[in-house]
Amino acid sequence: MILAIAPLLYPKIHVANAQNSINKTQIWLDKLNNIKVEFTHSPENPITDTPTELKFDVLNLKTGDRLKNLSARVIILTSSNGEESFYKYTNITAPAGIFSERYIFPTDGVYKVLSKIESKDTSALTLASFPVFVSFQPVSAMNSNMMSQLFLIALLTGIAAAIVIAFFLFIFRRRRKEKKQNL
Amino acid sequence: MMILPAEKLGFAVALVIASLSAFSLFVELIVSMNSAFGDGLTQEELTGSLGNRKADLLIKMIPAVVTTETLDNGQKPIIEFRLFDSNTNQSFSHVTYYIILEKDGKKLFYDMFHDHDGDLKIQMNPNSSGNITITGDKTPILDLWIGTSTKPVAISGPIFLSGGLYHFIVRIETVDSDTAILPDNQAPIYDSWLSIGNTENQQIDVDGKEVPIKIISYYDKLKDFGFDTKNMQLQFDMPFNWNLSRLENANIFVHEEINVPKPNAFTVKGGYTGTVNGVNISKNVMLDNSNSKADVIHVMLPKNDLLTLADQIIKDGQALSGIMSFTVKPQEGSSMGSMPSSNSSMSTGPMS
Repeated sequence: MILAIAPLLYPKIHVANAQNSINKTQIWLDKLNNIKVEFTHSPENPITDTPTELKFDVLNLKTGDRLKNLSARVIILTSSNGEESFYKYTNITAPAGIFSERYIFPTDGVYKVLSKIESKDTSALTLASFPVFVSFQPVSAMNSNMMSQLFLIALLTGIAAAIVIAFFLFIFRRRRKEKKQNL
Repeated sequence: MMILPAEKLGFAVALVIASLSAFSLFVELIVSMNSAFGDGLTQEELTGSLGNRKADLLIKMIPAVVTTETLDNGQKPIIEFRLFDSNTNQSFSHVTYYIILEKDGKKLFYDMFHDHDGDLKIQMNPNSSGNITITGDKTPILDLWIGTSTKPVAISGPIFLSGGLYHFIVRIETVDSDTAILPDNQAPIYDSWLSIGNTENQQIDVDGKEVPIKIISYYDKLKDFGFDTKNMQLQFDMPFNWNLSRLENANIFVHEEINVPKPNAFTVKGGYTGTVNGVNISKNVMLDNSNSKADVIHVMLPKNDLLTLADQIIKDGQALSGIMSFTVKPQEGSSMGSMPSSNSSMSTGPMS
């Protein structure tokens, strides 16, 4: 029974696993300012209506050291039906050269995450642009943690259903037996 | 041969016409000189590309003549940046310019500016206040400075306070769309050097009379001004890097302008000769005597002449001094040289 129920609960597990967005670190170089921006997001496969952490690591291109004393703004940009819409985080400060923002993507599709970062210490300003592919929730929601939770829920639901059915069967058989004895 | 009165009249008319023609030719020469070189290093057109499109950048100072003196008098020049396809002369749209301004290797300001039509104009408001501030509107998404015709973006503060070369480094961040940020390997970078004329007011003693003269240097600040009363010779120095490879790789043009009121013993000969580090450069000395009250002497050294000079000066062992040493003195007759055969892009200082 549980095995019969499971496919109903996870109809697109295999599809989700097949989907593979840009889940590695994306790098933006700025040779003029000697800056490297490393961008990652968590989860690796962002899904709609679930928070995604957008992480920025700003480094000295030559030494690899983090740039200090940064100020930044981050813009999440998408276009649907030819209309561009955006959400922005402003007045971000990053004294240690690393910062992140959490964003819930409302719809699936391709987003552009733009950053404008100013390094006060090196008197430099840099723009960067990163594409992010966002899937519809059921398609890619199944990370391992969620999957095990859902599996546990399904298991418990199945057991409970089996107990209830067994109980009713037991009652039904008992009443039938009692009827036969009365006759 | 006898000349009849009628012939005399004809000869006089012909002489007048010839004189007028010569004068107009000269005026035209000076005017063309002013449009091409007269203001020194006030505009530059730099070539570049964006994919398969040509992307040239015009950087232009408006008005053309900007000196420490005109700025002291309240002038607020505008710097125009226009990115355009030189094949079609059409400006690119939605251009974001990342502009860094340096002077003497020191960064004066950096910021990003946007113009939807690709033709950005920034007003410069020099003043001696502590910090450089920018005023204007901003784009909603990337928070970039944007100027409009009614409210131009303006930079105020300690900028253009001294004469000499100002180094503009311009990187194109977006074209075609406000948010289409160009990656590093596609974003063209332009180096441009514009000059603020450095005005030096000096007095020279000509036959016991103090004569006020004005020298405008469009390349770099002058120093060690002197006047040899006996030889009637002006002299002044300017820092200059004689490195040949630098000169070969640079768009460069040196222009000094000397204004001397007249008449006096200095101006009476109607012509001038000059030297640079002892090398005769009289052919590069131009006299604009169209003003009845003053001689305007231009010393103009285009790139080819600078290369020849540098070669000579390096051989003479003078290059290490890092100085370009000028002398100018009167000479009988017109010493007007022919217009230098420089490229007419009238560019500027070092572009290393």
